[in-house]
Amino acid sequence: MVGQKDSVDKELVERVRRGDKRAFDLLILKYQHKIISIVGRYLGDRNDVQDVSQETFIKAYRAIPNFRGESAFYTWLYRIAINTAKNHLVSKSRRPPNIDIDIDDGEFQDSSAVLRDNESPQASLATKQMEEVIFRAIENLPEELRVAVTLREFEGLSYEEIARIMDCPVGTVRSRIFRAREAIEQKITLMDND
Amino acid sequence: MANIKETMSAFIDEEANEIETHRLLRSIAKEKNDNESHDLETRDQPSLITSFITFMSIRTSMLQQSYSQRISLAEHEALFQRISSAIGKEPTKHASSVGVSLRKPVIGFALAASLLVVVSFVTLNMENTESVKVVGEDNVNPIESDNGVESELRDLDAERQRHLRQYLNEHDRVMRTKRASQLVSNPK
Repeated sequence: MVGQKDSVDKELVERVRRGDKRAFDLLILKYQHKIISIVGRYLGDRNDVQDVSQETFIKAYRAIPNFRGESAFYTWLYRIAINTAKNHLVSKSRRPPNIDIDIDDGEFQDSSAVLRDNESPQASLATKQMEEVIFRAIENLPEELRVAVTLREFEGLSYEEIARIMDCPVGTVRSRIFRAREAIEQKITLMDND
Repeated sequence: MANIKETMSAFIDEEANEIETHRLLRSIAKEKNDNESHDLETRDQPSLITSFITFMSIRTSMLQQSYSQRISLAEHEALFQRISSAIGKEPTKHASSVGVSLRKPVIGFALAASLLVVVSFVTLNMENTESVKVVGEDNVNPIESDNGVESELRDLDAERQRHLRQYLNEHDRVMRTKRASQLVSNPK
């Protein structure tokens, strides 16, 4: 599967360059969580984080004619996010942190203590509740769905690799992962409705 | 809806093919248009965009991805709508001149080649099916006039267009021949 990620992104970028704005929507949906995580490591205020994330995507859209595809789209977007966050701090006369976040770690590392302190008790509770619902939903999944989604999300395996491990067709893996996500989504929806 | 959601799930995992990605694009665009004309509160199941964000949040939570967990699903969705709307107001981007100039000869050649293949195919088909052409002719929609297929083709590159067109023409030819032979082989 190496390289497919880049080729899907490049295809979407190419569509944007041809004037198809819908393709950029998919890129936003795909990377919004990661960008928020990265920007969140620089900025403490949740409104600032969202504003800077929005600015990042708009800058990326404007600059897309200059994107040569020499690096992966996400690497390019990541650099825009970091620069936008740093510029935001400078514009607010706050010194940017003297660290550079590794691209592979940026969205996985836990945020700084500052961020944790800035989080409201309600937001913290909502985060905890969401995590609990998700993990409980995973525990209650039928085994074949639980294994498939766990291998995908925790281990990052491709469908083909999962199919080999579970000894089933790739199409079955795809369907199991989708059904697992849908089941978890239903639990989250129920939680939101309560 | 379930099918397109499964495609979306595969897309998130980088496992959707190009045609599926294209269908997903169209579905999301259609949903955005529908949302503009309908009351969001009246929908009885999560929209595609909501599900996309939820699936990404599930991943985020499973990977313990720090800050984005602290943004609620509703905030994520509102942010997406905000960004998408801002992008909608931006002037449409077009390929830079360097990219276009590099692609021009290749596209020209590919178009010429695909045209040649299509013409050859059509000629061959006419020769092969001339004797049974009248039978069921009015029931067959020529591929070229199918707007749905054409819109799929337009978004593919020339080489993939050629492959898809070749496949569709072949399928069309087989169906035409099959239908004709069924009618011809039954003289009573």
